[in-house]
Amino acid sequence: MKYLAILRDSLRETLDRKSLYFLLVVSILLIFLCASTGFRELDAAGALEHVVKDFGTVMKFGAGRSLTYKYEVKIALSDVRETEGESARSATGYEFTLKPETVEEFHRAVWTWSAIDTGKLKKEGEPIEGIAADKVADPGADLEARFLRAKFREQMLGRVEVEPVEGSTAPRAFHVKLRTSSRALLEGAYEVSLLFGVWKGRLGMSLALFLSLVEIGMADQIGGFWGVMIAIIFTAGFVPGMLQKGTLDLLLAKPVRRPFVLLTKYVGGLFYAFIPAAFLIGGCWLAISVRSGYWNFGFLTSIGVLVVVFAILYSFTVLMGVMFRSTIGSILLTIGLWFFSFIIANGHAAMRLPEIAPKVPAALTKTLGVLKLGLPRTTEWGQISQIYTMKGNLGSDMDVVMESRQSQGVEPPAWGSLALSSAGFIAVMLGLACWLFARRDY
Amino acid sequence: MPVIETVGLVKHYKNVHALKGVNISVEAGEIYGLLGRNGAGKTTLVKILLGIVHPTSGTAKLLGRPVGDPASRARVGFLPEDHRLPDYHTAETALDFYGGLSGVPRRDRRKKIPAMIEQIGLKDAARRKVRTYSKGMKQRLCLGQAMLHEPDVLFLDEPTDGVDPVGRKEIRDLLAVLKSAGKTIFLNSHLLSEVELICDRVAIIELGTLRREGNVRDMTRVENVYALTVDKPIDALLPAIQERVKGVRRVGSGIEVTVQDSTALNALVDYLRSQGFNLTSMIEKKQTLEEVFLETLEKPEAAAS
Repeated sequence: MKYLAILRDSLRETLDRKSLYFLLVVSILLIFLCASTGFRELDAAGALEHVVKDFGTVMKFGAGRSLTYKYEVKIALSDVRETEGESARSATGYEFTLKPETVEEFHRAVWTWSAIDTGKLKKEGEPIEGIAADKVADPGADLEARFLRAKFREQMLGRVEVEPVEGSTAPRAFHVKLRTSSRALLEGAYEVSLLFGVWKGRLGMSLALFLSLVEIGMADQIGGFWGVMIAIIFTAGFVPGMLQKGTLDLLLAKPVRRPFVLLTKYVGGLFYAFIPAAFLIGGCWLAISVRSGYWNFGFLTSIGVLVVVFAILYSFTVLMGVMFRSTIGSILLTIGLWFFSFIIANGHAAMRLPEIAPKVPAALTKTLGVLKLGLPRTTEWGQISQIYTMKGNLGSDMDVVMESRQSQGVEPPAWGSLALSSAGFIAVMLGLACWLFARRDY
Repeated sequence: MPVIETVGLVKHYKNVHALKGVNISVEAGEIYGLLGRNGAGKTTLVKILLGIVHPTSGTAKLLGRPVGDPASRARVGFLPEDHRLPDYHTAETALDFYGGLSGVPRRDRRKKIPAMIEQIGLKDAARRKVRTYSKGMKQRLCLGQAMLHEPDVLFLDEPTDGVDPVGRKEIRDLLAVLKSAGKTIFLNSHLLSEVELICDRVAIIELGTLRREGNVRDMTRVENVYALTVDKPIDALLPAIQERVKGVRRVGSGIEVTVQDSTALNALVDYLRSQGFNLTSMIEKKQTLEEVFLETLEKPEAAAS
């Protein structure tokens, strides 16, 4: 009951902070922006034209070196019809016939894609198989079909079947079957409007990706960076404020144990992160869900992730508050640690990429890995939030995204290690803070 | 069993010896005053008793329990000198918070808080934020939080600091009520006249050492010195009086005499009457506590004896 009083007092202190209301007002504006967004599904032909529009752009992404080739590819679509799929993963789709109109440019794009895909083309200016100065060879139906399959997969999640129309010769026609779990997974299938229709435009990406980007932006960028930063700045004074002469005397003269006072104060401080996080994420989730019709419950995990990220950093803020009894000092040291751990986490992730790993001494990668374990792993918590948010929008197709990421050397955060090292960090910080607080004279 | 007891209490800060072996014992129902200059060790002693400061050596007990044990503070109220109530509280929420920390059940708090707010005179400001309070109002609120859980022992560090004369009188009356209710009060105050009015026993502490301790009446009494006033000018009689007493001096319209004992005093009174003087008053001479305090600080060896 006594410690419940401290918890309630922390809530009271939180609710007294004007900065909290600033965060809530900003949240209301963002929720309003989400609520003003509208989505309209476009007709199948329009959506597919948008999809094939960029087939002339062939790109290769890589650490430090990317290649981009642009060809004037025009593709004609015919016999477009919407279909119903046979399972949840292929619940909807299109069937149509596709025929390139600019044949030579189409062949150039196919050869270039093939050279990149097989790893033969490493840098710009290198010769490309099939493309001579005066002539471009016919890549053949198989290679063309593979190219088309890959291009569709770049722009949608789901099943793609591309078969040359029987008996057609160059320029060949292809029969295409697209199957997805949701129309939201197909690029260009929606029109988006902002501010209740003041601005309208075709969505240049799939609705699922767009919603994921908006939600990740809210949770990871606005909440996870600015929100956590503001929360640190305005809660850093909680412990030094409690330790002020006169305030602490009143508290310690009560029949309470010091470590429990500090721990309860710490838990109470988490209200400051939870209230605006729940308000912002919950509000945006509701607004986006109602407006788009996609109820992404995965996005709500961001509330928990934001509180966990704040909890990790706030444990350090509490320790600094007990050590130095200075609000400014606590803020600067916490933000410094946050920045440092961000650098280490990203440095370590970069060093593990297949293109970079061989060039970096293994000892350095290992050292950073060990160092990372002892620091706040906020970057990885952000990735957890991103994964759940995307999974909520993409459904089981998220597995494809994860596989694609892994093939690029990007490993998803290891849950067990992340939870354990974060809990360990909090325990060590709070343990030290309690030990100091219990043995000091005030 | 003493309510407050310290034995050989020592506290060293880095380069400061704040307490050098202090022994005190306060019985239940006493009002005990601790006097001393700034930096004498008064606050350190109180903070050790309340577990805010850890002793270097020695033992201290509160209500029979070692002071490190939080349970020892369950029946204790404390009004610190430089208190700073969190300014986001109102009187109601502050009392609710500190009452909760003292273990007062929520249902009891609901009944006690309005009564306490009435008692400390903050009824009209009960729902205003503490940041809008005057110093006196904060002082009264702080006193309220110290009393809400009806403690057996109250530690009051400068309780009348910042309070106007009327408020001071009210606090004195309140302390008298608490004393009559059997509460033990440990008082730190610079206002020696107040301590003299309120306390049963006082201790004088200087540079971490307890210089003098005792009953207020005993400490302020001056043995065999009396102030006499008579109905006529007495100057002509002074030589004759001088022969009958150990000492005499003219004070105002009367005299102050130092006698051997009560027999000598009665003989003097008989003599004055025989000379046609009528006694209009006779008062046993007392020192003020302030005089005792200053004397103790100036002549520590005399105080010790």
